Amino acid sequence: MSISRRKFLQGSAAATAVLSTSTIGATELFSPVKKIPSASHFGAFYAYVQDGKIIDIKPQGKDSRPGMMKALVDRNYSNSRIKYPYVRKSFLEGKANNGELRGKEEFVRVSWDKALKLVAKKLKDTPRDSIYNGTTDAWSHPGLLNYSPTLAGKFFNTVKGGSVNTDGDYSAGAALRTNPDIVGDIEVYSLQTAHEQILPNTQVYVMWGADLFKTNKIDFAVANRKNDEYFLKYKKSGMKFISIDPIKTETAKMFDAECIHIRPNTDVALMLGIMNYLYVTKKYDKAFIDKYTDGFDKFVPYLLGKTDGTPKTPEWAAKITEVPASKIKELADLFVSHRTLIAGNWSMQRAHHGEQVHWGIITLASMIGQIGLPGGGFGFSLHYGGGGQASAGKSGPSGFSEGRNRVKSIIPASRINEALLYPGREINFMGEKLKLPHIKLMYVAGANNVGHQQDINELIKGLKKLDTFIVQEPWWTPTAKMADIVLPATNLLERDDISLLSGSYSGDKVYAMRKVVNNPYEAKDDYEIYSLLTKEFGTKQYKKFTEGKTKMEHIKAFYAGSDAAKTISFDKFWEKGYVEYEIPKEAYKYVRQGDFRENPVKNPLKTESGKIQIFSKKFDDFGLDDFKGHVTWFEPAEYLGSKMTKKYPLHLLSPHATYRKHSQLDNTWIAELYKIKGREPIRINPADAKKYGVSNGELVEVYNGRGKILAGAVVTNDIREGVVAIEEGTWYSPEDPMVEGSRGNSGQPNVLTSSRPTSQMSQSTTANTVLVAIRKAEGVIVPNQAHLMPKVKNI
Amino acid sequence: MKLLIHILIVCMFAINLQAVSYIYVQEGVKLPLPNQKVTLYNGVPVVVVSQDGVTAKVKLSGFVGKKSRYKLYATANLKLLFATTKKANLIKISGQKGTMEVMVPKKSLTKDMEEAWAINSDLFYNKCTKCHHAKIIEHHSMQEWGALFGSMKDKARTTKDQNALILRFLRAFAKDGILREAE
Repeated sequence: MSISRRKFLQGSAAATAVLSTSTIGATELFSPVKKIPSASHFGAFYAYVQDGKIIDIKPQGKDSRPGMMKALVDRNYSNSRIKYPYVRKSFLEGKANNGELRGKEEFVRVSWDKALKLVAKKLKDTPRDSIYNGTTDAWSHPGLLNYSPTLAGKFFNTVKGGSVNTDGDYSAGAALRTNPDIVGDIEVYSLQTAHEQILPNTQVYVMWGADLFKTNKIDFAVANRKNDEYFLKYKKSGMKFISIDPIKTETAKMFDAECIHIRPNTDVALMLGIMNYLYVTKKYDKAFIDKYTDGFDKFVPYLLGKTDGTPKTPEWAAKITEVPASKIKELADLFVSHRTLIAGNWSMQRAHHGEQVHWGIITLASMIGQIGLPGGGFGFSLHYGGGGQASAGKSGPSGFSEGRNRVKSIIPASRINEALLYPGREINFMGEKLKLPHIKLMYVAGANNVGHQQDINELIKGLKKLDTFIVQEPWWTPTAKMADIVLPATNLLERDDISLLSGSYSGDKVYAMRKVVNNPYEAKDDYEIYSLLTKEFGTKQYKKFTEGKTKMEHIKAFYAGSDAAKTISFDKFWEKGYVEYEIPKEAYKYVRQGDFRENPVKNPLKTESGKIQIFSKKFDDFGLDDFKGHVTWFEPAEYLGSKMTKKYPLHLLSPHATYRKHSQLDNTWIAELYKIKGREPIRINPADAKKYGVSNGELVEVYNGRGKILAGAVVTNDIREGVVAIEEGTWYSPEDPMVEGSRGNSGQPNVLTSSRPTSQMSQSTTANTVLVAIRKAEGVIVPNQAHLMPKVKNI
Repeated sequence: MKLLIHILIVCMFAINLQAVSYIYVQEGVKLPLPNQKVTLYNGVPVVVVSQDGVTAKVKLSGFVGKKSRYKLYATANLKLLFATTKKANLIKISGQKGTMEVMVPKKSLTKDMEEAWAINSDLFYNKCTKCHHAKIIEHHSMQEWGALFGSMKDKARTTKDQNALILRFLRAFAKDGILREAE
């Protein structure tokens, strides 16, 4: 069935003439078609269901790019679905040292009862400070009843009193650790200046690594893609766009931006070069610096080279960045003579010394002096979740709370591999010492850790040291294939739920996420799985977890906690599929840091001084050699200026996926639209392709000291020389699972990335600090098996 | 662990272990004592100096600012208010430190730190663990919590009063706060 479904959906994507396709039999034409509203991270939709099967998905309302959500149907019917509970064979048999066989041997089907009892026993036998809750984020599902991190936390806090969690996220970890001290706010997830203020005021829009059009099409909540409408206005506004990026992005092309193809990981040097020029020529805004910032006097000696003997001149920056000194001066002059908005991104800070990037932009924006003015300053979330949309300011559905976690051990996101391999090791973290916990049991629900974690070969070695690895998932992801116990979960089309307040910034919609079809196998909702597990711990725990409510009673209670309930009844909301809040006119006037600019005494920033910290004594007092008291250029361990380029001459970037949401939809027909011979594409400049004998459309081997992968070459001038890019998220698949460090067969770039932290301060991840080499793929090429289910024994 | 917490407080306030109690306001944030022109805040650690049937004389130790001699704070950074008074010289000042003695109803005292802070704690864990795991409170300073909570409160849709309760809790139990959460 799934093969014909796949072909059928490909057809529907091309023509959307769903009902006219030949895959529907004559009798089906006379069956009623149900139209059911639901929603996803890809957008809100109506599912059309006939005879219990989904025949199409169409967007709710106006939607300029509904393509990805159509692939949800194919994902639902994918061959990679986990149909039943399974246990890895030697784990089930209780054989000694069976952890070495993770990812290598067959699974045995067991009953739900047996699986739940086994999971409960392992959890009971393991102390809570040795249990790692590997459900790292909430990107799997935007519904509150089955919201993965909260549900997992609520479960562990209910049955064990807590568990070890990850500290910091994979998106913006370094910035989250530094921005609050520098500008008194995390900034990366905060409300941005409204488009209505940007459009008439911004004259120069600098996309510093930001790819607005690509990354705004999905959302942590339910995507609305209203930014597409604003971007059309941007295009007509007369703003000058500058894209500082090694890649000519989709957005840069759309806005006909001036592209400055900087060397990866050298952005801070460019910022310092601009700042040095502005200071020396006295073109910076001294009045702003004096009134709104603290510690500039401690930064200037470094900028002028008085503390380290290296003035950070445009000429100095030009050598590092390969942006000509004349262009650096030109940019500086342009920025201070026009209303300039710098749209930063998050991928730049996912790099060695990534803490410096946002600090650099904030310091530069301070010298430009337009922070808090309409259309000026900086924004670190204009590329995300509808950033720039005005906020309705209303309450969404309430959802569950995790409650209190009594375990105080944490693992910084970059240190997961290290914690698994070297428990008890002491590291520096946020100015203090942190002892990594001894993890014996890892439980993951709705996350694909063998994919989003850097240095996959290292991670797999770590996972083999666990006593127990439990995965709760709808699909046989690479993470599920490494597990001991696999619990099949429904996906969003198979369960009732209610959405988060959506979009992330507009907050103007609440969606009914109604069940579209039944799961034909034995999968259960995540909420139900946890409920059944709590029962194994006792009636008290079960009652605490379920709060004595059914699933639908929870959904109704969540709705009752929202402002939406004041407008229409739950029943009407459920039938209609959404509630929309009006956005107050005042919200369209929002300017980030506007209050601070207007009156910094009355509205101080929540920093040490109440002002922008150009210098932070607190950070300086950490006494670290890789993180100082002001923005500093540190040479990355791997970049195009390092000696390592003799062996590995190309800088590998792994930006956000164009046709996926991280790893989601990799197992659908949509992947076939862009994969090269079944592998993830690698973009390479024609000059490099010629140098390394690589032709467009052929398979290549990309490698370094950490591993090697196959990828499909796309030769393009859209990427600068010396840089290659593979989008993050494709499902990892080794050529030979029996061989340690076997060549990655799907093009998953995290086989090549490093677990090296940003610095001893934030210990965040550094996926974009990677050097590689490339060559034609040789040897026997076996098909990519990433989306095939493992060998299972059904009883 | 609770003993360790008590020891921590003992070291901080140089008081007798047995006498550590906490102001316990069952509703709201403050305990107004109009007859004494004093307002105490929920959860504040105190030493019981003496007591009779329904009231107790308690001693608070903290810090005062240069400009105001009418407010007693938990720490030298003046980010967590213990008490306010309209009565001159009620706070005995020595350098930056200050102490004050007031009479409080015995029902407004508890020796159970978790009970005293339950309103604040429940609110924090209810409102701030809906979208993400709770951060370990003692991993962040009072100043950091001001910035972190300030960044997130609009998403949590908390009221002004709730913000005050949550922020007091976060600051009290912060890295540079006065208390530690039990494991």
